[in-house]
Amino acid sequence: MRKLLILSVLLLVPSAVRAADPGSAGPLAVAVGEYTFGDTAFTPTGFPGPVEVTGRVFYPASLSGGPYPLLVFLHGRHSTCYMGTEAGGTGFLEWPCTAPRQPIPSYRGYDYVASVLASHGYIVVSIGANGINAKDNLVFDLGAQARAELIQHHLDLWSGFNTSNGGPFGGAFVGKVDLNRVGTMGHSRGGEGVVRHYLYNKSLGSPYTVTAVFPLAPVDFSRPVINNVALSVLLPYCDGDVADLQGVHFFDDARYNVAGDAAGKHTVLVMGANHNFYNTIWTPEIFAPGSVDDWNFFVSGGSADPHCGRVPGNQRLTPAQQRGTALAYMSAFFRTYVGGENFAAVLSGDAPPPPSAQTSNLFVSYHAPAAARRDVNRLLTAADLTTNTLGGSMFQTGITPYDLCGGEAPQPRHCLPTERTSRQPHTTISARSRDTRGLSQLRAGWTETTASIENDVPAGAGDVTPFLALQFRASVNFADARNASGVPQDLTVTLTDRTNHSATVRVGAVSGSLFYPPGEFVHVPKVFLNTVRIPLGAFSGIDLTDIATVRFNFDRTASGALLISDLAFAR
Amino acid sequence: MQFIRRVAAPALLLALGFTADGSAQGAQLNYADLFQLNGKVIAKGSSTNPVGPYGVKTYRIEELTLAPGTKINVNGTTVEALTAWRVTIVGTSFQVRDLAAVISIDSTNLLPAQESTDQQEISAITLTRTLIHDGATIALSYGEERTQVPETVKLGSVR
Repeated sequence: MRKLLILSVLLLVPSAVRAADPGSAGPLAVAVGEYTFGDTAFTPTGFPGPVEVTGRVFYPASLSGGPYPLLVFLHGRHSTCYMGTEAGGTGFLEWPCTAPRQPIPSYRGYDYVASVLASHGYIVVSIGANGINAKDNLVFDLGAQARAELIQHHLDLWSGFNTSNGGPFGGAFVGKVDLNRVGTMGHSRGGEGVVRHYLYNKSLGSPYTVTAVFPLAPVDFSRPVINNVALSVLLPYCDGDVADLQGVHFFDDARYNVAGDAAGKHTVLVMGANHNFYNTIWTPEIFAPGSVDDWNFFVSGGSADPHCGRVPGNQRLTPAQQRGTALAYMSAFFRTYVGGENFAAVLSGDAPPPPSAQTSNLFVSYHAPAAARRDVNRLLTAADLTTNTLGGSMFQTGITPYDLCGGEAPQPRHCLPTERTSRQPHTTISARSRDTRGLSQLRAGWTETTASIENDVPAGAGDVTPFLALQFRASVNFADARNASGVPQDLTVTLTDRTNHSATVRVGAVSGSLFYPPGEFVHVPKVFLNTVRIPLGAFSGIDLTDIATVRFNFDRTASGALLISDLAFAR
Repeated sequence: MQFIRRVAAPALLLALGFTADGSAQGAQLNYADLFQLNGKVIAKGSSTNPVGPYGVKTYRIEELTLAPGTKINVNGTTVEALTAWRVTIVGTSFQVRDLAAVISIDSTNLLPAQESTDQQEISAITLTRTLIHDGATIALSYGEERTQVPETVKLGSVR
């Protein structure tokens, strides 16, 4: 039986001049409504229980400028029902809820992003998945396929809203939904859900054109890989639930998976952020039943951590600050890759975090599309330690160790063999794909300031003027005592042209990525490779049309150790 | 879980061709069905002292008798079994998490775990009889976080 609930409210958004901040409110007034076809309206293939078909939609109050692109948000796993009050009730796990228990509306937890994006001309639907949460531990993939099918079901509904009168919105959306411009965001198990959905939609012949996928603090149990679609993975450093930040695999696994990949890929590592507070309904101060501060609740002794815990001077973000990071980077991502605006500088890290992010303590990685990148050294196999991806020589002076770890055998599975894997997300083991390896990384250390690593660029490959930056990913290896605890690392990078003119840039002058990973308890510190991106314009006085070598000089500190990957020129 | 066993389980048993005592007649079961069958308690602890973030207190092991020929779909693979064991950890509050919960006995992981409706218990299934023995240790893990039940298994502890 089809039920209908529509709540329409006009949210008056100030008609301001569009700012460069992607998270600022746009010019359009926004309306919000909800629809439901019932708590048991859908059963995914082979799933052991029914699932609700319920959505909350933010959209431009006037649809006259449509059709508008469609964004679908999917929450993650959480208690499904509650009894008592929102301020102090108790959570339950069942579906549908048994009276007098009421559903926990996790799908309402992203209003803070949806409303802003709607003000820029997006139809944003956040869908309920409590029915999946109640039973997904009982299926092998932990609900990923069920979530994919649920998203597709909603897209089918929106296809109907776009073409037919009737339904919960009458004819309001007829001709107003652009299903060739679709983006998806999934939080936690919803994160793997949106990745799986991209593959599922593709397996059906791509009836909808998904151009951007944003997993937020995601699980990656089965290691699905997506290519040729823009990807951004946001990872909270103080995640106490998915504490191993396994979602970074989505980025790592996709980089070189297919030749000619046309899509950009991003990660955003947010320091001081936990797992739950990206959803307001999972934030105890806003909606208590079933909600906890995951870091302080789940991590034994975690509240004493100087970065993630509660001790004076901790670096935890407030829930509002944390939501700011999602607002800023989700908005930049969807407005770029779905809406066709340009916030590339924010997404690549060339521009600092915008004010809407409410913190500057975050780090990004960027993997440019194949056509916008020239890989100098992918650092994937042992052969890359002598001959790089361009076919030039790679050699080192005074570097020990000088080996690869974390990638395919025979590399050691983990780069920090004595550390728990939650402290090394790039190689953490996936629950449903336990044999799949992680990110291949160069493990390098030095004890003399004359140490260096050099990659030669063959003749014919040295014109880097099509690119904006030299970039690589790196992390300070906190497990190596050659790094002074709590002190950032630094090095210089020298480009030399074929007439033997050189220019040198100090990494610390252009990037904060070589920070010493903070924290002391259980899952922190972590090694996490963020992109160091050096503008080519910083290398002055050399011929950028004929670069001959790229050299890392470990000349800024007496000793140290880094993990490094993905050396490339990129736009 | 209590509600499911009282109301939903009898209906499921009839639908699947089970007898009133819970034994099956050569049925095809899904993994989820094993959480709804009645079982015979063969061991349980008595600790009331909560441990760790979930307030883990004690355990219960139930034996599920299946009819000859019963096939169970586990992780996409069909296996035949005469008996299954449901291992339950009793605690204070098993907050619903996104990371997968794993119950282990003597460091051997059981099949996927599921929280009870009231979130005060979490259960998993094993089809391996040898895991169920006196002195076995039961633990709950999320990733590398591990909480051990404060009591070891004692068969015949049910009066």
